[in-house]
Amino acid sequence: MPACMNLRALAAVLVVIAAAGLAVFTLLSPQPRQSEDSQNFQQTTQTITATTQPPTTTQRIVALTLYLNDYGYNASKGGPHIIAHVGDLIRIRLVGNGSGPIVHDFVLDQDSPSPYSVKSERLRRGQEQVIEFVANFEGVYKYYCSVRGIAGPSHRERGQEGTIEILRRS
Amino acid sequence: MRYRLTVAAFSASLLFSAVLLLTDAELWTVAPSHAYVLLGLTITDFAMLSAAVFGKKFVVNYGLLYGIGKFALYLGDILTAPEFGITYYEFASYLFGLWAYDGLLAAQLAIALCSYLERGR
Repeated sequence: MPACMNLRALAAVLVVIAAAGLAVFTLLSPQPRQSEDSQNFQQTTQTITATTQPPTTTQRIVALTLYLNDYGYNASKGGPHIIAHVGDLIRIRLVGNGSGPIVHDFVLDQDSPSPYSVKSERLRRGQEQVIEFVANFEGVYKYYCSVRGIAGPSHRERGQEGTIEILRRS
Repeated sequence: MRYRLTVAAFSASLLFSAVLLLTDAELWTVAPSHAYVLLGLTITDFAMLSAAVFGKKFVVNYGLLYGIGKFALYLGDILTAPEFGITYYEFASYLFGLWAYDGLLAAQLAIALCSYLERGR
């Protein structure tokens, strides 16, 4: 029966395609690589006492490193509570640590909401950027990742945000 | 309706494409060119779906080729991994982790199969 034979031929073609796809995927897959960094930063919350360098002439430097994980900073959710004082120079080394093609950034702007306008590049795993800004405005603000789709939850809505607290200098 | 199965398969393809276009943040952020290709194919799917609803014969005549071709195209997206500085395995893991992508692949095979089955009508 020709129709039956054609159906078998079609099924055979589909099976061959699926098998070829599976074979290619298997051949292309090396040992799954687990990022040491992501292993080290799986806790959901973390408080950083930002390293404050000895005061120079007028300005102190608050320096820290943030790993941009899925979907948190130095964690799989949330981010460290950063504390600085008005007038401090905040220097943040950002290290992309997303999985696959996923990118993340660091934003502190009017949507935080805050009077600051700080926005890093979007970094994929392995990419780094150092951002600096002066803590001019006292208050408690949210920093967050601005990556989002047209619809659906944004990275921020998935928990990728943290708090930065700028204290009045006593 | 003359080609019910084919219409259903194209509808599924359209649905999964729309979900990817709307909810995959990385698609528009990291790979806008991929997003535009998907958008173009989604529009083509819509045209094919409309033709199938109106019983146009060419949809089922070319559905097998169309479905398998798009299946290969979507699966072949994995080969663009170096574009993002990641391995094929990492990109494949990411894509297969998206249920809409898995559904899109299945929908292409469904288009091929249903078109073939309804070719004689």
